Amino acid sequence: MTNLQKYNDAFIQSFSISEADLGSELVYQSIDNWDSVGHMQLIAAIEDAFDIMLDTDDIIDFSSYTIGIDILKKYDVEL
Amino acid sequence: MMLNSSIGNLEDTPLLNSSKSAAHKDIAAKDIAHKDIAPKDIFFGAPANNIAYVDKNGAATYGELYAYADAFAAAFPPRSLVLLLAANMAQTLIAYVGLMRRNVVVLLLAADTDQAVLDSLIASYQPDFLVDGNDASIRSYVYTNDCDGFDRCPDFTTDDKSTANDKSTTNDGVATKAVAVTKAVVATKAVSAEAIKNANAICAEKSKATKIHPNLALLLTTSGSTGSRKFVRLSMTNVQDNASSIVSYLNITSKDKAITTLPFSYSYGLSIINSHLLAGATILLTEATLFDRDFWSFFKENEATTFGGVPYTYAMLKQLRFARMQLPSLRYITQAGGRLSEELQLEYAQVCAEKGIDFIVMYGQTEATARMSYLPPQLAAKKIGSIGVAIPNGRFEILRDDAVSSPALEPTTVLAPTSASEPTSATEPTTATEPTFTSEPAFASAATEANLEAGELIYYGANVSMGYAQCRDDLCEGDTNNGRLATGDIAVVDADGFYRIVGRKKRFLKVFGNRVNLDELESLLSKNGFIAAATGVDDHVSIYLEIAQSEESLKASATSAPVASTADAVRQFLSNKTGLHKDAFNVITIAALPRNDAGKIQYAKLEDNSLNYTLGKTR
Repeated sequence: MTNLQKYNDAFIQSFSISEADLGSELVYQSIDNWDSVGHMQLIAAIEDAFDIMLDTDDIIDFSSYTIGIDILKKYDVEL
Repeated sequence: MMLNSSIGNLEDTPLLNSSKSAAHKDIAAKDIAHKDIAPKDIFFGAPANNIAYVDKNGAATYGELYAYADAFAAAFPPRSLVLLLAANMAQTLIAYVGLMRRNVVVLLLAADTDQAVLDSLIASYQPDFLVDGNDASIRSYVYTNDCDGFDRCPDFTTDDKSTANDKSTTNDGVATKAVAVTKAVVATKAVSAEAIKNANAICAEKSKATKIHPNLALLLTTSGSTGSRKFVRLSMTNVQDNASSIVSYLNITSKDKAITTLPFSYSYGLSIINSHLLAGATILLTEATLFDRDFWSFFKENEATTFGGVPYTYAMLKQLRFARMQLPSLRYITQAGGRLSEELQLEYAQVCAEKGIDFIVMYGQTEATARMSYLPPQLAAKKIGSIGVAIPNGRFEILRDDAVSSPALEPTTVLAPTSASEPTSATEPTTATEPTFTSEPAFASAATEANLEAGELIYYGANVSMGYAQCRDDLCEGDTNNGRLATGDIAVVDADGFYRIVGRKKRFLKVFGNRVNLDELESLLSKNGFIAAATGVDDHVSIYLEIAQSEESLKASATSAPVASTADAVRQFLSNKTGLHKDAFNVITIAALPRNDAGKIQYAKLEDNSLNYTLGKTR
């Protein structure tokens, strides 16, 4: 599985959405399931998928599908 | 007002501040002293120059808060019923304080309550007014009894544009806030004569049919967003007494600044508001969540000294690396709304001790206004799993219920002859005679382990609510609890006098701090064509779904789905209906629910994996 697939899977699994829902429109609180509980799921899924520990600031800043890709670069995860 | 001071002046004792003090010896419940609180009135007594609240627009003093509140509430007839849609915003606080000061009865609901739920509650309770505390101008609506619901008073609205202009013409946050609020208030006053006339007529009409009991002050829901019609009836004495106790045991001072992390309409969230109002302290109002940058910048700018959290809040904080955060202003944090896992409790006890923050585990129910017990912070790491001791002015008793297997014995009557019959006991028994908990899987093991000493936890105190309501007619009822609450929780007490919850008699779970009644979930599913059994542990509801019938109902709703998607659809359905994140629901499909000869679901068998009922499982 590529990094991008893992990344997408984390969103799809955490929010029960489909691949078509992924993209720049997907931001925190833009869909019902991406609330604070969903955010916890997402962060846990991403940390598991890439075996990393995100910093507090990065967890808070992880507020969209697109921004997340940039944040992961800091952890040497290239998508 | 209260209480034993076996240790004396609180300032001199390390008891409530011991995480900052190295030495302490073993402490028994009887050694815990509380500060006596001067009997101030919660909605009137704060010093005018203290800062009452700060929101993103600036700060307001108590003098200002009271002035805004009174100007707002002047339009409402005392003893009328107002449905207040609440959010952690200045508008809500102003409306709430104003209505309380004016002796108006408030039914508090979350501003994001589902419209269908709201409609059904309006039908049940027929409030005279609806106030939208989520709105920049605190819009009010008058209930027009003769037709179909609320009409917005046309003149109640402020000109949003001019408010926006005012904001742009001044950089002074305080002044801006005052202008914005005053505008709302002025607009409200402009129609108040008209509104009062109409409303008075309507209220007079209604009061002929239903006279609201003179002691009733506040109605709170027990279920968060799950849409139950059942509300807890609270008197001003309940609210005042619980706030006084909280100020006492947490030693809240006017220097404290509580930042909002829980819904305003949630009894625990409201208890934080009320206790800080009583202490003349500051409330930092924000709707931002822990995962918003705005929350943390607002926190740091205003140097919050405290917040409260349900178990899920603490799980989030852990994920946010709370241990590594630099929050020097934080003095104490509290936890309630369900049982925190022992690992998390130990972790927070240790981290907080290192940081010099008091970590206080508490226990409560809306039926007791909010809080019934707390674990002193210096014992947080020593008494893991304990809910501590009763709050000042309250006391516990454990009803060692030999009647668990012999319902003939009625311990309620034996021990508390003053306890009147509970009006809603037909739908949800709260008496101690319900013999069902031994057969319930989620709690059975805990109850067994707790040996013969375990029994139902009974609480006595002036904060015990007047009772329940399910509709407008119930608002005329007086106090049916008489200061005694059968909590429905099974507890043990240790040799030092500290209590621990080991099980639950009633079939409900706490999910993200909300009470979820499992029987209500089953009936909700059944109404929609799903045959299912609900069980589980806090924060994790397990739904066992009978697939044979249920697939029919899914087909009926035009979804031809394989088993896994059926389960997923049910999760989404429950999430939509309860307003809880779907992650709370685990749906397990099975061929047939295990039932006894009488057709009653055998929950214990459901949990038995060896039976291999499971066809498919999603989570």
